[in-house]
Amino acid sequence: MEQNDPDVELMLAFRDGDEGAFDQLFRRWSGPLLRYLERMLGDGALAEEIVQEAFFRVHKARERYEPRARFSTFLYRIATNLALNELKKPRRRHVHEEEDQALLRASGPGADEAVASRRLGVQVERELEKLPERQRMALWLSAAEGHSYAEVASILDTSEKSVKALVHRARVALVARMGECAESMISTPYRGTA
Amino acid sequence: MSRKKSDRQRSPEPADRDARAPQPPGEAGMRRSAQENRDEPAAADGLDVDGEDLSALLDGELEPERAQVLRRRLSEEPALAARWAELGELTGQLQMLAHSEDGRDEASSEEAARLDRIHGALRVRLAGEAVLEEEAAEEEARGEAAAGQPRAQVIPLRPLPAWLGPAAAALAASLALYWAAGNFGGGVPGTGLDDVEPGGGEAVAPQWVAETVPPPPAEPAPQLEPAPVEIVRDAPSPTEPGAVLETLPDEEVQAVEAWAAVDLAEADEEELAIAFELDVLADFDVIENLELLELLDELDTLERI
Repeated sequence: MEQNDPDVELMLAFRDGDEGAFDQLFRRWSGPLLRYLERMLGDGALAEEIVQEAFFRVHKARERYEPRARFSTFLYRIATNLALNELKKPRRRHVHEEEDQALLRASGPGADEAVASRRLGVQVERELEKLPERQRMALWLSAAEGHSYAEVASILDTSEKSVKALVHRARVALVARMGECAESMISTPYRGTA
Repeated sequence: MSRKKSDRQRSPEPADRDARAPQPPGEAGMRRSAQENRDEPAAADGLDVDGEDLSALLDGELEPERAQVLRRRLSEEPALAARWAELGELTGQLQMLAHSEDGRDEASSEEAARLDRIHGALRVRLAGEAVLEEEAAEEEARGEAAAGQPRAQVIPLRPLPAWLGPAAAALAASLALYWAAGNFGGGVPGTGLDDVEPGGGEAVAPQWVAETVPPPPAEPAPQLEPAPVEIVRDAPSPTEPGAVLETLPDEEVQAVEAWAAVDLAEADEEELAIAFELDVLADFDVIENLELLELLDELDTLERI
């Protein structure tokens, strides 16, 4: 049992009938979970649906909940499985694609530093989406959200060794793609907004 | 391997990472990575650490001993250090992405609005689910009640009044005596019962009676007025006929003896009514006696006539 995890305490309180504890858990974890799912799915609306579904399942499973791991691991595992199920379906169009394209067009030469930073972020997001699902999830959970390899292994239902390999492969692939992308942007003259 | 990462998990600050992890540099670093580093320098040099260790060090997941070896190599090998820097830059970008909304009021309020909307929808859904569960529980309870109602009202196919057991036992004993007396032309009341011991469970069994009854007297038995049969209501239900007589007082045994000599063909309606409760006798072993069955059948026929 994860005795030091305050979320586990909240979950146990919720299991014992404290509905307010559930709301606290939602407030604490819905934001990071939404961001994680958005990066994994590339679809904000779908990410919202899965956040709702994941917390709904947590609510329904409260009586069966056993504190064997951190609450976040429990929650992310539910959400990850839901996301993987969605990713098996025919790929949805990236709803942010047009927005991202507009940002990239607007942020040509002469754009200020903040826009450049945002532009780089958009590139990372786009390249991240092109990674294999499990690499993408492992990298995001570990590198971006700070989950331990053990937690990621539990969320993805695999071993820590596999997580280590997944994370590294994802990093290397992403660095390579970002480098190619940067080269491409430098070699392509800016033509202004279309 | 899995250690203190959970401590960092709630921190939105990328600086909470490994202190040596480089910060995001922008496009310059990414460009360099594409041009210079296509391989895995750490894996290629054949030393104790490999490429995955670079990532593990960035993520704070490398064992202390290996981390120490890798740090020493990073300080000695510029190519490896450059590679590690690229991976670190990317990690910084990812962390900034993960927490980008935290530092922007506009994005924070936008995300807060989205989360409020999700929370509201979730609450509505949970409330609806609760109502459905409640209805299902009520439905189930109603179903159980409906299913339980017929069971509670089941009418026994063979309702047996409490007094019928002892009465039937007494009747069986009487019929046995009657049958025994009839078979041997007996008109002598108490013919067989003279040999019955009070504790003898087999005393009134038809088989026993048939075997022990003495030969019938030559002269016909005198006709006696039938004594009224008194039903013993408080007597325990016997499992075999002999047990009945054990429970009866002497005067009632005598009454049974007297009644046993009665010709049921001439018995009154009450006596016949008791005798015709044929299925009651199914509870007793005496029913196995075929001759008794035949006798009862005859009585039934008489009743119908």
